[in-house]
Amino acid sequence: LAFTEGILTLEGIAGKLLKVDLSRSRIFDDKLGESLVKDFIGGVGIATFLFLKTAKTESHPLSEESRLILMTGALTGTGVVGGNKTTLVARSPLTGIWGEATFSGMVGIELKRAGYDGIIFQGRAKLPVYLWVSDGQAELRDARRLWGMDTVETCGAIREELRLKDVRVAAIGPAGEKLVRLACVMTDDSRAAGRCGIGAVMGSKNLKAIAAKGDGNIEVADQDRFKELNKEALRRIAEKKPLPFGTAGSVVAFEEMGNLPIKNWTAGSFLGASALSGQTMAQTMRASKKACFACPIACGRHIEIKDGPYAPLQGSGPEYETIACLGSLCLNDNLESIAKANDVCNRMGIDTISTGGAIAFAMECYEKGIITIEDLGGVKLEWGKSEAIVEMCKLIGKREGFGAVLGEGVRIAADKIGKGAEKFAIHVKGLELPAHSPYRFKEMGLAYAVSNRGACHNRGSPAYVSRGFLSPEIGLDTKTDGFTITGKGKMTKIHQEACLVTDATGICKYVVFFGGLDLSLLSELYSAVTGYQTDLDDMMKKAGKIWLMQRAFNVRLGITRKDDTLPSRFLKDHLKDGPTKGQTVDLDPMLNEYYNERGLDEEGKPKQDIQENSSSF
Amino acid sequence: LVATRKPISVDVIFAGSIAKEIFGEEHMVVLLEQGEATLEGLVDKLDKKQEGKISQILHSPNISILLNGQDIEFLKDKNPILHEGDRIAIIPLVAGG
Repeated sequence: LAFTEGILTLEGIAGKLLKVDLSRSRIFDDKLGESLVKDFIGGVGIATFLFLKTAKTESHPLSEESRLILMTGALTGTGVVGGNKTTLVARSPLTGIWGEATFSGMVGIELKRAGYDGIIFQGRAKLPVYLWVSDGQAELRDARRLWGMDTVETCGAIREELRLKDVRVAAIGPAGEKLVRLACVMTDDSRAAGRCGIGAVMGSKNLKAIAAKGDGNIEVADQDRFKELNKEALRRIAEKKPLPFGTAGSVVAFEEMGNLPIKNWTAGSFLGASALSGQTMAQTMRASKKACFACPIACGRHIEIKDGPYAPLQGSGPEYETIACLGSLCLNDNLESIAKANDVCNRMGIDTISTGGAIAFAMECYEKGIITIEDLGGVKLEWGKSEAIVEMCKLIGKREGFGAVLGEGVRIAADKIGKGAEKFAIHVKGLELPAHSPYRFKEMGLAYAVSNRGACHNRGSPAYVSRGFLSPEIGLDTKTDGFTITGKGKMTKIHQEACLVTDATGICKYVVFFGGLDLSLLSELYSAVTGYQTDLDDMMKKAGKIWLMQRAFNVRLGITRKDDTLPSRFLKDHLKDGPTKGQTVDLDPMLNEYYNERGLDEEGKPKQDIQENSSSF
Repeated sequence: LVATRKPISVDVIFAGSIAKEIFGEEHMVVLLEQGEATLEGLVDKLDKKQEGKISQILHSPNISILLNGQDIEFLKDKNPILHEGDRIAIIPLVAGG
């Protein structure tokens, strides 16, 4: 293959790809060509190229011929602060378009230590298998006895079978096996490749898990420079001390400013916010800090519940997005129930954001009389009913009862329900909204509308700027008013590219945007680690090209301006209370500005033929 | 006859990391008399109670004041008149999500 040609002289990356043909049970080694790294940075950038090069656009996401790409970031595992990200790319069974999920589990780092930067999966195994990669070797192993296990059981069983305690695993649960469209991929350190239903893609391939362990070193080109820059990054983070109460530390402030989603986005204030905060978690659940690889921030939480209806429970605590989507979005102020629902979702392997969105959708349908208690199989989905939320998470994961409908995602579920249910299905391009309000931060409305994977807060989060997290190195040097729309098109484009740079290098966004390892320092670290002398301006341009390639894929699938929109309630309906009372999102002017900045025509199509003008194609 | 006005009551919220560890509480109700019912009046009153902590912390660029969810920085009047039931939130840069 053309992209494997050329001798790799760069460091930080292993220089090899695994190509796994599941239908024929064959595994090949491929080289990772140097020009590919230089053109696409790493991680999601290279994954984008590999996916577009190897996948047929029209292939059904769950068909045998579909492709699934896993790529580690260029700096992942090198010791760069926050360098722990890996990306999965596929056509999404949830949205039908570009699908992508980036996660920070250790399995990507072990893969790189084992000598591989990424994996291209194709085909469908005849029987359940898992991929085991260790120090330059890879094999497909029988996973029949793992089929049906939850993600925690699966990871434990693989470690036991391989008789290696420190093997790292990414696995699907029962939801992925049953092709639930909300299915995610979970790692043994409880991090999720959550969105877009990538777990169902693995399930459709009879691929239960990916396990890796490596003893190799990941070399760095300029050790002295690397150490100097990394030290500076650590100094900045120590000074800023972000996220002292984890991601959930923001719940109260977000409610105060009108950013928290409440009652399926129909209410503007929520008295239960304080009960859901990171501070409350610390007091009531013995929450302790939990860090990803090479990260001093430690935004994750380990919790323990000893008493009450959800005890005993020990493990990863819910993050902000989970708390908001399974909490305030459903008017649920019971933090212990959210912790339990989070645990259920993680074990079953379903995305907590989309699951919360689906349950809130069903609650509104039930309130309006569109679905009945009989439809729900007796699970009374009334606002705030925490037991019912936990129960419905189980049903979605098992694809049983009404959970089988909700597990399709709100767009398809609304089609199945009919009776006007689509009004309450809050999604963009089929992906349920994350927990940042377009009423409060108009630029988030635009970011959701134009993200290549549907409503996403991580493929461009321009509201960081309105919240005071500035990035002067890319021109975002002034705090903006989240209620206004002027300039938000340009701002959103820039932030999307910044997020692509972080995902391609494999660096956590919190470290970059909240921790002060800014993008200039990141570009210097990239050069020091890889030995490829580049700069931030060049990396942002490459990010822009990567974005357009993903967009071109979506355009080939029929995506146009009509799809770059928001649920109608954000465009037309006013909230009656809270900080965003009376607000709507005036999307069109922002969209026009954005298209202009991005080089898209009025219908949202790239003005130039991206494929022909890309030197690497 | 001298007309008298009742004091107004406003809610003050300290959110995020500055709440309990700096102020010892997340929420307080403050009564403001006629003549002090402005943002500056509120800060003066809180300063007396909190030994100058409020104006000290407000000097930080990393702190925002929200009046009913609106960032003061983007209001025309930086010393707005406060009304009965107003919510004033003092929040640090809010990471997360």
